[in-house]
Amino acid sequence: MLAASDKLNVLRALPLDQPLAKTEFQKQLAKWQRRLNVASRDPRLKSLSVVCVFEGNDAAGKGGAIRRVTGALDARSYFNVPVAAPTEEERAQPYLWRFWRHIPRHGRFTFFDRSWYGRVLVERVEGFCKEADWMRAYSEINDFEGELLRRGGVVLKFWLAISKDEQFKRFKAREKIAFKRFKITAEDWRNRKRWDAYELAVCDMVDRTSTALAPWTLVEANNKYHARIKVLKTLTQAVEAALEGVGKSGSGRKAKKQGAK
Amino acid sequence: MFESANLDHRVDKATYRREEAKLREALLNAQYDLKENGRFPVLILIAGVEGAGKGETINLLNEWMDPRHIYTHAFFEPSDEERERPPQWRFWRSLPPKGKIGVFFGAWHTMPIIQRVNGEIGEAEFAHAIGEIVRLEKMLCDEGVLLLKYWFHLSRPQQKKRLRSLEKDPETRWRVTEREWEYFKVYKKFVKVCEPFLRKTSTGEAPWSWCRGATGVIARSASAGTCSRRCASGLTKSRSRGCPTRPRPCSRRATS
Repeated sequence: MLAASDKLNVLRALPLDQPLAKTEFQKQLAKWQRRLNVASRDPRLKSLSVVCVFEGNDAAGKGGAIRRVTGALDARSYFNVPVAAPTEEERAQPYLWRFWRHIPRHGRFTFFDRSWYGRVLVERVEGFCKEADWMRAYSEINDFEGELLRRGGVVLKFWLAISKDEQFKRFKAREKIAFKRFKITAEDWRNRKRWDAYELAVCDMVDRTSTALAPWTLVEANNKYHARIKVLKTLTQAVEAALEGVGKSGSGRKAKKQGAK
Repeated sequence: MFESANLDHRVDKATYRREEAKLREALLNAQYDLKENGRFPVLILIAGVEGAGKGETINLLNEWMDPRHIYTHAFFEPSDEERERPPQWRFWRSLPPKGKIGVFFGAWHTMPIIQRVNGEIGEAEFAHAIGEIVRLEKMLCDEGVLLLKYWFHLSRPQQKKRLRSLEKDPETRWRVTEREWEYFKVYKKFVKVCEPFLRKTSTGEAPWSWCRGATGVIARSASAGTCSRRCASGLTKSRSRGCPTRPRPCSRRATS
């Protein structure tokens, strides 16, 4: 839980600036959206459910990436869950309850814009819960995701990373452009002051919750085009691989066997 | 493991009547304290062998307490909606909120036990299920849930006698189906599976309580007694953690 003495970590090792021009982006977007759409119509999807988690720095482009994914899907097949402060009903329940209630049934996608990782990110950094509470959350989250995977769940986790300078540019642009102004609040500027604390929390989170079956995908997001294509491509390939696994060896067969009981 | 539950406990009617009044008052007090305080939920798990009075006890708890603040859930075969989600989903959607009491009849322990008895899962998968249950229950307790687990037990001859007498009475005949006799046939295997299960899932934060359910009376008073006592101690604990104190009406009896 201490930063490495040479300051190197999984986020700093990421080459955040990735080239991708707009024309190439549009070509790639059409290609991967088509593939995702075809995958989402596959009859084998009836024994799978897809859960996607989007986390990232403020202004990293989570919303935009989600919209490029849902743009490929039938509105009847997915559900978006924006995660903000818990409601009164949710506060009266154990922490993970408010995510369990949104777990999709088979054949459906659910996109969490921020997620159960709030406990080891914002709640840890802002001191909303005690150290013992966020410390035990890592293994609780691993158990929770393991439970999702047991019944044919496909779990994808994206961290959209931008540099501090890029965030500053985007904040300023949001303040200037009228139709983006709703996206920026004083809270965003306040969170920015805690950049280093968040960075440490993110690195701990990746170290402790990137499991073999539900790994984190770190997305270099200084270039929005690149970030969107990487998210779309990773998701599509994961769904396609899971479809191939249905009825065959490994988790797919297990899911089917358990489902039959 | 079931030695004390197998003893031939007896309570005469007069003692029962005297005890019942006290227990009912204590239980109701504890329930109102819990509701007023609203600091944590109470979750009661009811499990055990057939014919030991599990259902009767739940009905009695509902009768004795204020039914507006107690929710009972029986988990039978999963519905289509539940089958398409992880096994834990149906328990999560039924959890009681803070200040309320939930009663789970056949919770997360049922499936692994039955599957192990039927030989559908091996020792390794059973051990895995036990680990999952222990971690789930620990998490619930860490999140502030007061978890009370009751195991209703009968010895094999007791169970046989009980099922026979239920069958004889036209008013209780509906309670004994072929399924009960099928379970009776595998009694020895059932107990052999349950014994290590109970031992391993009886943890510091969520221990099992055993009751002998032959007459029902013991079971009821035992469960009501522990329940009210532990509710009260849970409240005291949460209060000492620094939540605002408020006077409680005659709850001393609950802790004695």
